[in-house]
Amino acid sequence: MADIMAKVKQLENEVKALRKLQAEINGHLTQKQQLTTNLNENKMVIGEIDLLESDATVFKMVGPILARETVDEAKENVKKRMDFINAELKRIDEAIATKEKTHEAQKERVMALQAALQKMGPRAG
Amino acid sequence: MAQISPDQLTVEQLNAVKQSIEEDIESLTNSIAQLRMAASRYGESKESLKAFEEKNKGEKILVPLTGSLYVPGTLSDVDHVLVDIGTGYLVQKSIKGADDYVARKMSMISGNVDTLQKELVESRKKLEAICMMLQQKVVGSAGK
Repeated sequence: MADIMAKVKQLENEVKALRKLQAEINGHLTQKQQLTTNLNENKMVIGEIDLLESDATVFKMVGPILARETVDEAKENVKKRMDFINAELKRIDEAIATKEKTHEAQKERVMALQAALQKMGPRAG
Repeated sequence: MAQISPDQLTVEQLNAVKQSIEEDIESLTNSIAQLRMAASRYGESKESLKAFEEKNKGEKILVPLTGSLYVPGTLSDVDHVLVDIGTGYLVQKSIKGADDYVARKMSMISGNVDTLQKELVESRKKLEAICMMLQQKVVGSAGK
């Protein structure tokens, strides 16, 4: 009987760990979503800047201040932002891939425990 | 979408698929509504550009300092506006340039709305098909 209790407790812990992993993966996915949206907005901005004359007046909003920039400076800045976002996206994708592997392994452990409990169950009544 | 024979799916599985499609439809409908709201805001901007005419130069205007505080002023520059192009960047454009910008944005939005509409129609068809499969299954098992 104590055997079964121990196994049930173990199953509970493993399931908790599984849920925690899933929550972490979901957190990463949300972050990825936000980064992708940000990246798209920056793509639109670069598109608009490309249409400008080289002497057009561009302002960047820094807090409550409008700072004047040249078209080239603006292009550089937006490109740098996009490079940064792409690097972040790559990092998050790698983190998601690793977590998913751990998640799969954990799922196997949980299923094995559940199967073991099934076998012990009917005998203990 | 892979063709799965309806016989292979149980009623529970069909219901799960049905729910997933219903969620897709709701999400698509919301996105289309948001795009339409954005388009109407651009439409308002287009309208306000019309106020920038030579004859309005020197006209009295009210300038917002905060959400509820306005100060009186005069319209001095009827040739340029600052356009917010995203991520904190503003570009000075001529009235014509600003008009073109708004037209570009509105046409992009309407393109996106069309794409989403097509997906919505597809999803509704899928939902109908699944509902029919469900009915057949339920009637089939009741007849036995």
